[in-house]
Amino acid sequence: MKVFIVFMGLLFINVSFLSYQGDLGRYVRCQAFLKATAEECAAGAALYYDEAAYADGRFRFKYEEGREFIEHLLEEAKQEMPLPRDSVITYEVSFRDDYLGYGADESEDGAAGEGGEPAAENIPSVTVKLTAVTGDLFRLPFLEVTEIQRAAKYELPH
Amino acid sequence: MKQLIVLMGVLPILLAFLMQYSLDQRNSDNISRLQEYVYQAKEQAKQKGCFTPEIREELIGKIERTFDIDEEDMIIELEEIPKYRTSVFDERELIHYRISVPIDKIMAGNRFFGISDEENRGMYTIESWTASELLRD
Repeated sequence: MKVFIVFMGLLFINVSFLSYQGDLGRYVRCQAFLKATAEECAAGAALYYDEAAYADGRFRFKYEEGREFIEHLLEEAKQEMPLPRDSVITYEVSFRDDYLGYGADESEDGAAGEGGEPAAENIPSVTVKLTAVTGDLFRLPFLEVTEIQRAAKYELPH
Repeated sequence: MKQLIVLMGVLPILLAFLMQYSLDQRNSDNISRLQEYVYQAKEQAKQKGCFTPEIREELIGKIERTFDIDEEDMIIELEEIPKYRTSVFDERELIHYRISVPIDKIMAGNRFFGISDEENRGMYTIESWTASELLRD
């Protein structure tokens, strides 16, 4: 009986560790997926800029085109994502250009974002923050992760 | 003697866990490398407008060496027609890629638990789109 109890204890510990290891691996893959997607969104959205404004010596992103690209990419990315199927991914995008300014992390509507980064040089950039809300990623009862957030910033070269 | 018999019974079960830890680690490492290879190929494809034969060969070669598989074992769909950077969003000018590689062993000691080798394998897929940075002449 003593051996059986010890065996059950070892079995329980091993199953818990195995479950944790598997879930942690998936959690890390989800983070990598979100980071890569955020990078892709930021880099893609930064490609669209107002050529007429640029000809006048001012740089301005095409905000709507950028948003359209991000939404399309997120829609496609959902097809093969490591996150559970019922996950909801939302995004926040903030543009920095000659029209919206380079001060604090300003979003398209002019509201200051979180972080309060110090004033940067006049480098146009696009920052995309993705938030995935999902079911609990860990099967162990004492661990609960239901949200993953990753951000990426793409700065245009001088 | 009784305890030895019990030990001989439970030892394989406990060993399966040790083997599973190692296997999970190896699979996770392979997947991370695959993500890295695809990322590198994708960045090159952005500049070239598509996955050129050179980029494709380099990607396949890396996957073959890491996973110890042949090209026939993979499912690879890479955009081969050049796409161009546009001033407005146009989904037809995006570069699509989809790479699936087999994960041969998901569970260690599968036969011990009555799981066949066929049931114990799966495919890991990376699929996405990227915007071309290639300008029209």
